[in-house]
Amino acid sequence: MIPETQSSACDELLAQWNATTSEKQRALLEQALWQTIPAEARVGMRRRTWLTNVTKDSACAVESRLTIFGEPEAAELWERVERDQMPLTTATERLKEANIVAAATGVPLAVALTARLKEYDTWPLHHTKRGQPFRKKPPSRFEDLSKVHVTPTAKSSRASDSDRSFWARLRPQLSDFAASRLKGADPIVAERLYREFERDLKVLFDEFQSRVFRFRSQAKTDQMLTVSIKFPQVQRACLALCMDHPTRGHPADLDKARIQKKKLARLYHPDVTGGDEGTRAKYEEALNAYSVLEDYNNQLKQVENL
Amino acid sequence: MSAAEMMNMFSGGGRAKSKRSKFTLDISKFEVDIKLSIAHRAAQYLDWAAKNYPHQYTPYNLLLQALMGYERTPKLSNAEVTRLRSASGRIRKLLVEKYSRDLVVQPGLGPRATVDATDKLKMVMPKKAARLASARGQFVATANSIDPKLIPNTPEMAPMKDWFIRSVKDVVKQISSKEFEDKLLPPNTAIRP
Repeated sequence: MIPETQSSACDELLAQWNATTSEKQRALLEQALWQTIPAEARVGMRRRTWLTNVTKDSACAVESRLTIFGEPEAAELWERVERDQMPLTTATERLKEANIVAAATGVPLAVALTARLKEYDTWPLHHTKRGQPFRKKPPSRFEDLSKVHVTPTAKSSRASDSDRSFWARLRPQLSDFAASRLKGADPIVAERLYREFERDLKVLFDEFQSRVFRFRSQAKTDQMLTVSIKFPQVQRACLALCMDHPTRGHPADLDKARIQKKKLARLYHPDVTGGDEGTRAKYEEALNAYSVLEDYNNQLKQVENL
Repeated sequence: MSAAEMMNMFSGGGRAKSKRSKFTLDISKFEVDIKLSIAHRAAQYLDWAAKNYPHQYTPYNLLLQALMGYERTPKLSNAEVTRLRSASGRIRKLLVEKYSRDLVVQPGLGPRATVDATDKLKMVMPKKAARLASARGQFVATANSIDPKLIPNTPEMAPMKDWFIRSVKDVVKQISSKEFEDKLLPPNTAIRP
């Protein structure tokens, strides 16, 4: 694989690679190792695969080192890797994010990278099984749409139809807006940003819908609670009419109430008793009780129609 | 305008609403004696209600709640309520014996004890007189339908035949008269039992 003329230089570099523990040094040595191969021999070879075979290191680590090494402004990142024992994969991710932000906003990469690393410092600290410290990004407050399971009911399918039409109407405008704002950016970066923007907007829209639903149900409950006739009044009215009271939230039996009212009227009506004050009050109470039950039923109907 | 006011407006809020009136029974003030039988407790309650809520009918379900100390009022269709309703005879007997009151039951409303002599005369006596009048009619009809000539003079039936000819015929003659009927039935006034 390695030409004979270059093998001695390669062995030296490999010996140096094994001796050092610095990641930056290893990246430099890996670059030098790759340079030892003549340009003709490199055709058809993949640098990462070759270096992984030669150094017997993991492909992920090699790629991470090469990615960071490819950016001349990533000196701060090397410091983090060497000094704070930041994992190489995390460092690569930070660098990629900084690249995206720099491309989208036009900020220099070094500044974007510093901001990314500052944000990284705020994340909660964890330790691997081997005791290596690392920081983990806290979970997003937005739900991951790819993991949301929608139950296929008749209602939800209707809602998703309207939702689809809503997005179909909104998407062209959104894409136009995004294109105007991300003019000159890397197309891949712009595409990714646009997808994220769309996802966030959809999450917000869903949240808005659920809040409206919750508000509506709350308003209905409040309406139930603030009706002018309370349930104890209904219970008292039923007691006055000597009948069973209805279940809470259900209409009263007006037919039975009418019969009871008639029975009481036969006993206490002024025409029957000759205008006795005591019986007149009882008769009026029966009438009031019946009107309370009527009003209660009307209220229930109104609340149901809300 | 608040939601409650709006509801009032829609439902004709001008009408009088039910409030806790002086007729509303407060059974929590009644102290039940759990050593007594159910019928005796009912009689005790009705006596208490006649003193505190005179002329007020207590529905049977509320009566059961007062007697048993239930937290909630049972339904009128409850089996226990039905059983209590069938105990009216025992309750009446206890009321008469121990509390010198009588029982007035209004169908669909419930029972109550009589308050005073006027109440007893107004509510109970006409009913009793009506029952007696009805029994009198049946007694006379049965007595008139029996022909003593057809009854054999066997040793078993001889004393009965003698009782029928000497006493029953005499009683029938007395109670079937128009004068007796006028005395028995109450005057036709506006008061209804």
